Amino acid sequence: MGEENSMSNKRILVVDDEVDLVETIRFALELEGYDVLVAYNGEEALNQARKENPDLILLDLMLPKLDGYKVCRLLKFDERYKHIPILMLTAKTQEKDRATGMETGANEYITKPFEMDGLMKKVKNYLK
Amino acid sequence: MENRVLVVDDEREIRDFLLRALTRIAGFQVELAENGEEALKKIEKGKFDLVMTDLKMPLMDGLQLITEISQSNPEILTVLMTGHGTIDSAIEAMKQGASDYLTKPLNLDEAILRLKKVLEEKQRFVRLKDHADQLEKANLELKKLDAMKSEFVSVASHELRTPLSAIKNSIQLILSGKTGEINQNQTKFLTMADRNITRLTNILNDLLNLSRIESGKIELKFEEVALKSLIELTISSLRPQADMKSIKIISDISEGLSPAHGDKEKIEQILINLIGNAIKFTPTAGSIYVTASPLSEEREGGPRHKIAISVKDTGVGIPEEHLGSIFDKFFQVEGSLHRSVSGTGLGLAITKGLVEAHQGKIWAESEVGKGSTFTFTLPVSEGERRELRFRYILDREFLRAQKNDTPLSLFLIESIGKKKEIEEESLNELELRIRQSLCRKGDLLLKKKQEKMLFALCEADLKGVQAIRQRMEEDLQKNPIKTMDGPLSIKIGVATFPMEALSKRELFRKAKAQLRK
Repeated sequence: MGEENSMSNKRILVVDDEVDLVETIRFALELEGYDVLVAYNGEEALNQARKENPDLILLDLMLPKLDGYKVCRLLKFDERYKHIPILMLTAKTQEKDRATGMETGANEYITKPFEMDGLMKKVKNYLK
Repeated sequence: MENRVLVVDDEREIRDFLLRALTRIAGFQVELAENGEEALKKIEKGKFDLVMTDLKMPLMDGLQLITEISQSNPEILTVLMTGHGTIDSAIEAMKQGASDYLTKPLNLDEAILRLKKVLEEKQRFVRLKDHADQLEKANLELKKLDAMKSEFVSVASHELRTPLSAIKNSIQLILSGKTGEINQNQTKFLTMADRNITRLTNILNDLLNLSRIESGKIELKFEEVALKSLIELTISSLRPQADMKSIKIISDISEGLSPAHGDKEKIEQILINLIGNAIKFTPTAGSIYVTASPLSEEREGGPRHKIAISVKDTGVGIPEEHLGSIFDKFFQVEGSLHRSVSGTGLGLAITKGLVEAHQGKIWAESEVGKGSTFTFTLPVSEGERRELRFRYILDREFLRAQKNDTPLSLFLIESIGKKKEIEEESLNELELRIRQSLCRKGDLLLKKKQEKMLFALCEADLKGVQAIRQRMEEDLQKNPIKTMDGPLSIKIGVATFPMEALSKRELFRKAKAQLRK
């Protein structure tokens, strides 16, 4: 406990075009002691990720401007950023969507709606 | 409806005669033209159902007119009037599209009868065509609607997920106490809201699954599925639910059950739905039995081997009048929906769709107050199917040989060498070669997976068998089958029936004994 606070806080980028959803996730993450960055579209997400180099990204799939698949691919195929764990959050539930998601190099594929506790545990696991 | 007829003839008397006769007797609406030119002009202006024309006319003869009309106005019927001895022209006219011909001098009764017949036929054709067009249009419309419906369900269920997600997260945040303390009643009602979001999500998932199944978009990943372990695994995952109602779940599946050919995840879903339902509808301290056994159906072109899986409960049962509808969408037996039993009403429809995607069948038997049994079938895995088929044919041939005293021979072909596993490819080639060598009635081959051994059964006496064997060996010596470890060496064991072996077992024993030599 309190490991995160011993050094500088871990930083998480939350990407979703649904402001409300972003707010709930941001709130929960901040309570866990993380610093939260947000982006509401794919382009913003990519810029933020490149500029801020976060420790983890929660990425929605269907995003304006640049979809989540592309954002994920652009980061995962870049030597500088491929180490960042990306957890995809999506309303797409089809098996082939999951397959596409995994092909782009995402670490997890989480379908909406999800359990908050479960998500927090997964985030913690990746940041160990 | 009055038929409009155009009479074309250069002889005035005939025109006038036909005008009167066809108007009065047949009730047609008649117009006249004295040559082809005039006829074409009239056709351009007005609508005619039928044109009857003389053959011999100046400028343009009847044949030319008919050809012209069938090109420019194919919907208009044409009938040629010919003199005696001009049957060739009549045939030519029919080739050009005329519906019929009449010979001059005209027999009025016959002429009217034939004209009416031609017109009636046309009307019937038009009606049928209209009908077909309408049906086709309606069908197209329905297909479009159906695609739209599937698309709608899919989009709607995706679109609903995101707002649901925000609601669920908010409720869970408050419930966790992270936003401040909440009292007992607040906890109670927020828990209720959370539970219902889960329920809503389940309905969404079911709807989406069903629309995928219905639109044929379901993707199955076929593989060999070991049912015993899958069933036992599913039962253990549902046991906590059953334990809450002190329901016993007993499974009885023999170790030797053939694997099924299917999509493991989908079969698991079928089992979860059926066993889950059984738990729902069985009162406290009841029991559920899950069994699986082979089922062979006699069909044209050989037997079909299936596996029948049954889930039997000691539940409330289903009234007979509802047994036919329980697999329908949103159908729930009235009064069965206790407060403790809530579902989407889609479970069995999905289950049925999944079973049918496996070319299987599902049905239910039930007695009110005693319980229900749901049974579904799955195809046997490819390899197993071949073996079962082999056994079936072996039995059949053996019986036939016994009855008719025809010599029957069994070959056992086994690879020798250090390597236990031969690659599939070389095995296939071996199979092909042996098939070619056998070339006598009754050949059959089968791969036995574990042993990588081939069986062949053919009608041949001892002499024939030796010849076949020699042929096989020579062929393999000349063109050895290459494997990664060098050429494939094989051993052949043979036994014949009824001369040598006394029983099927004996047949195998003898053939196997030869292999060991």
